[in-house]
Amino acid sequence: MMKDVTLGQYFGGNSVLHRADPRAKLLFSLLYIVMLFFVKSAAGFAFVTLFTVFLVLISGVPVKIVLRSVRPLALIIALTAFLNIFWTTGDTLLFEWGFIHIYLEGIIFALFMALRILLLVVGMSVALTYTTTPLALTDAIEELLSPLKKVHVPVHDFAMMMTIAMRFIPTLIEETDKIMDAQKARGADFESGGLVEKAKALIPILIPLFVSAFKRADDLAVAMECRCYRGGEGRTKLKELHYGKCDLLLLAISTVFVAGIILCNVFLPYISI
Amino acid sequence: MTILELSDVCYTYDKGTPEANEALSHIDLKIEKGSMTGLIGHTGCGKSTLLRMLNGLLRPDSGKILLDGKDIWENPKEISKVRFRVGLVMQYPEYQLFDETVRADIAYGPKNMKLDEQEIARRVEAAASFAGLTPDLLDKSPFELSGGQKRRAAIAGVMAMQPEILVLDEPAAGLDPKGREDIFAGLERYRRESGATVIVVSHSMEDMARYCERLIVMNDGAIYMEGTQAQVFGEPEKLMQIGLGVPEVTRLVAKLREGGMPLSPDIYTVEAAKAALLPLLGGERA
Repeated sequence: MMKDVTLGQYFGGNSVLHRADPRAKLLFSLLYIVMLFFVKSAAGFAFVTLFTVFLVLISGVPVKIVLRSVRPLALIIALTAFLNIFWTTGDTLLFEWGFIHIYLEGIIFALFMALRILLLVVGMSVALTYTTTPLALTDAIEELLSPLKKVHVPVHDFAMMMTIAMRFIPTLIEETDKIMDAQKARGADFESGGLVEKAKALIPILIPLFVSAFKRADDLAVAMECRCYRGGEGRTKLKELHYGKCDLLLLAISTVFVAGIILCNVFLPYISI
Repeated sequence: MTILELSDVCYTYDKGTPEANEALSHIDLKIEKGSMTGLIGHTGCGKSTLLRMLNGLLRPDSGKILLDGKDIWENPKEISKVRFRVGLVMQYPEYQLFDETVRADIAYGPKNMKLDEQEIARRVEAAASFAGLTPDLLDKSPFELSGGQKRRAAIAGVMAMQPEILVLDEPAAGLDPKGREDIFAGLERYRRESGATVIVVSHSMEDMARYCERLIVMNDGAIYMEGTQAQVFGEPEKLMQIGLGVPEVTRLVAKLREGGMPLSPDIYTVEAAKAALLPLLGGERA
């Protein structure tokens, strides 16, 4: 059913990663992504893999749950690897048949590419999505982008929009479930038929869903106005963000991470791409 | 004659996860053909889960649901046929309206049954009349209707399938007294004229007393009480224990009896109370 879809995968806990400031985690995640693309050699990948495993361990999120975030991407990872095997050229030809040429470099490149995506997803999930509530995350984005307010970018409004959107995802999923049940009770059939029939069968779900989403948005706007919401100007926060000890620790971890990658690239450039 | 029978039906949401939540435990139930049965219980007592069982939207973990003596899950591929025989009107059904006109929306169910055009048109007219929709409303967009009219259009959409059993989850919730009355009167007329069986959930003991001859009370996923109005309303203490009660007028009659008025305890509707009280007070018109 629809409700099995996990969105906002926050997994509660009290680890360093959970306690760190969401702004710090967001910056750390950006650094992690950027550095991941500087990794070039086998030693570098080994280091980043170990580092990511370390992140998973300190996050306290069960490995099984972390792997669940990879599953939806398995196809993309496999496809990327597959394409890279055939498209990369190099010096060591391993296999040739008609227009298909497979080089050793292609296989290595494909493996590295797959590993990179895998690490990207796992690292981002434990550093950010599993350990940060969606609300804390939007808060962090708002804070980090707040300098843009000087040039009249409506940062607060964007953050509020994101918060509201995320808040209503579960509600909309529940609503979809209900409407699907109601139409099934009237004999709707979502499974059989060709593509066109299947798309047509969605109309009785989508229209009521849109109607109620618009109505909900209207109601919410009125309710917010009733509580005197008038944008971000002069608005204070119940929970202000403060950097703390955990953020220093995260800074130390990031330093080790960056240094490790640079060292691997410089001193252990074996099997590199 | 029994048309619908549940034997030892159990259901747990999210089975096998830490959030497992037993919604129904060992439900045994028999519904008589052509009857109007009321289902009462608190929010979260399992009523809505039970209703979803009846037309196969949910499949019981164990136990059987027999429609006319046949297990509805005997052939899971044919479950949509069961849904045409057991029509379910969900809570706040006006949210399911989608088509361009009320007429087309009511026709959605019969169309899914693959009936021919003439039969569909006939059924739409009949269902609209049972639900109390005037013909001029049929060509309007469902989104132009008032709240009460939308509700009736949605009920008509299920009635148009002419199900043998019509199941409704709080069909009158959030409506004004006139709206409630219209909906229940329409249901009663539908039951009488088409011979269908009706099962209805409501929180209003007054509606239950007026329209349902048999009552089922659920609590914590199990059948708590079951029987005729007199059997269920005859034990107000037992109902009170789970936070339910008897109709207001029955409470009034109980007070009057305490005060020495020779009234019968089994008075559940205002009409019955009026008929019993007028002669006692020396009135003429009953």
